[in-house]
Amino acid sequence: MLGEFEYLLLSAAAKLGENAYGAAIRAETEKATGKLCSIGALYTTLDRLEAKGLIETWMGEATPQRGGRPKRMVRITAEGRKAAAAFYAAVIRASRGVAWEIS
Amino acid sequence: MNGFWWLLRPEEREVVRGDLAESGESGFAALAQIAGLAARRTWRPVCTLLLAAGMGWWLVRESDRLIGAGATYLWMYLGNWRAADMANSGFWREMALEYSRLILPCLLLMAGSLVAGTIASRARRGAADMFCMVLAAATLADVVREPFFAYALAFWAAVVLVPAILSMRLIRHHLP
Repeated sequence: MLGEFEYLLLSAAAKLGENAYGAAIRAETEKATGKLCSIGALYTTLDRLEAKGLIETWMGEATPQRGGRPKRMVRITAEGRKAAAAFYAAVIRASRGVAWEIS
Repeated sequence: MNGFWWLLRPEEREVVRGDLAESGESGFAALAQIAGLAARRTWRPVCTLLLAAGMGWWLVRESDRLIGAGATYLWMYLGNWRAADMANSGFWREMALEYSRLILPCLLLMAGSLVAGTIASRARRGAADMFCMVLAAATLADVVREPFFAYALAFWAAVVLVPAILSMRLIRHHLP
């Protein structure tokens, strides 16, 4: 079973598709949650997801807005998609019959 | 800020520099990000390893003490053995009493081994392997000095090694 933060990162990576890399995933996660996402939490969680075989990462190309520095690109594996789908299904099942009030 | 970069893996330094440049973070905010990543990367595994090493040291010392105590009784009973004692209920009762005093410390030692294995399983793979090697080497170094080598080895395997490895395997399997 995935952790909540792991699921958030997988979702952000899925949304970004071919453009999924560290800084973009971080920005997407912050946008989705409205909370800050630290670089430490991001990369240690990406490491864990990679160790579990849920994502693959590699060094991408350098861009001028990054000062010519490389990106850590992220791709979700088939296992990762399966784990995210299972997490999402569990949240949907657990939420059935519950009406949360968003203030 | 340069003082913190060495804490990161070389290939990660450039990636993090690029991320910080892209997000426009600099000064204290950038420093906090780097220190946070370094802390998660370095200090957490080090703390886990230190805790596992401390538990390992206690396991070695305690198992050595219990092996010594058990072996002393064994040596005493074997050295003073007489056929007539076999029919003496007092002999059996006294031997059971002496060994029952070792049961609680043995259970504590087994529990300690389970906890140490659990802690080590949460460390990085290299740290956990190192913990196992240190534990095995230190304990075996003690065990081979014991007069009843086979007894000491069996005791150590049953009370220390098997619980530690079992808990490591179980935790790794169920909590990836």
